[in-house]
Amino acid sequence: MNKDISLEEAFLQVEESLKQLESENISLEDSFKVYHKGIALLKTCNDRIARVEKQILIMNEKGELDEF
Amino acid sequence: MRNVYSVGQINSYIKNMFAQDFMLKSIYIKGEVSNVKYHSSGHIYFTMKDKSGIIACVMFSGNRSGLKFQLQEGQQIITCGSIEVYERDGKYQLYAEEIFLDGAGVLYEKFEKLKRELNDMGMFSPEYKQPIPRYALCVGVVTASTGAAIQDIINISKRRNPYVQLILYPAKVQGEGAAESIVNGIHALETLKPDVIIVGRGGGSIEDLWAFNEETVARAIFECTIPIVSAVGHETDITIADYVADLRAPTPSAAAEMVIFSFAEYTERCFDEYSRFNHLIRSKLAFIKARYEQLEIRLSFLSPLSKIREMKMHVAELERKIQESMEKILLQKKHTMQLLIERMNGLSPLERLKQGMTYVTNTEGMPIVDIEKVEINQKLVLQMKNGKITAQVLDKEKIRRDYNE
Repeated sequence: MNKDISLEEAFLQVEESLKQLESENISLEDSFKVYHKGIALLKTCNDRIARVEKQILIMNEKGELDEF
Repeated sequence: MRNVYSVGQINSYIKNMFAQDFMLKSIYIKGEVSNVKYHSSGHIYFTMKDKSGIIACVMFSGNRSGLKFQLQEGQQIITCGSIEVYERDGKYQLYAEEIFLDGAGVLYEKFEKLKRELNDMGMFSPEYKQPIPRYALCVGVVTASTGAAIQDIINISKRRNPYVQLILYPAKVQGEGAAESIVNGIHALETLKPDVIIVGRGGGSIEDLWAFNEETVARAIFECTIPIVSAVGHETDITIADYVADLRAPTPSAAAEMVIFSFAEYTERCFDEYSRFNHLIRSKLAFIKARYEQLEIRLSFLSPLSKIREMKMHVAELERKIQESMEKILLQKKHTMQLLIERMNGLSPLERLKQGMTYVTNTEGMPIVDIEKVEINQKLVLQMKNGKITAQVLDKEKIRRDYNE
């Protein structure tokens, strides 16, 4: 999956997958595919948020970033 | 002799005249400030002057909320208050209730003019508004590094989501060069491609906020490819920047609340979605299993084994039916036979013998039924119920009996 995807987009795709799973017509094989895709998306969402507390950065005159 | 009045009477009379004048009760006066004295009691004494003269003014400590800036020598101000006579000194003065820096009126006109122009150019149109991302992971902030605004934003960010990266561009937000500094900040942060940029500052006078009413700032906000949230002053302060921004936040704190997504809510949503997936796949599996079981039952009904079983049952049934029919027939035949036996019995000579009849034969055992065949003295054998007698014919007589033969 594309790592550059935004969290919003990821959630949109997750919702889409859920909708597919809810449908009556989906085959068992496809439903497993969709399920794995959805779970992978959620995992990506989670991974996108590096759980490191961020120091606020401040831009100096040269356009470089320092800690605030 | 004319009337003579005391000083007090005159001053009192004049005070009364002033007091009855409706206009003097609430009046706006503009002029330049001089002789400012902040008294330890909290009262402010000053004079207002213009080319033609001066007027003494006082603002009592109780009215200090009507003054939002430091009163200084030479400022052009507009003062609102009442003019009353101070009897002891025989002087009238302006009792100030509210003091504004003059020029606000000019600024207001400038504001309205720019607003109209930019609006006519379509810069406030909703179709140009970029959506604010719901989950911004990197947030740029253009504001003063020393103001309350950045502290508010940091505090809210730490509380809602400490994993969001904030990048501050320390801008000059008021005074000379503020607009340019804000524009530079927007451009500089744009190159870092944050998800969203907050542009703003804390509360202040209309002059303090003025940079956010400059056209250059409005254009920088409008042209920025990153969504911008404006957060200028207090709830009631509305600037050009607010109109042109993709979203207006009433205060910097509110901007932080809008832009920085709550990590707790986010994890809850992830968990919910995860549960929904598991629930769906489980019910899907349960559904398929139920269908499988149903098919299995149907299939087993249709299998050859069950066909054979069915045929066997059919054969057994037929067998039973045949058996039954046979038995019925046999029973019937038995009945018929019984009847015949009964009838046969009825016809048996033995039965006749039982009823007292005798049966006549010659000595050779041949039956004698015709009198013509019997001779006198011939020996005959008489058979009866329980024995036989050998007799000799003494006489014979032919008798005619009527037989329906």
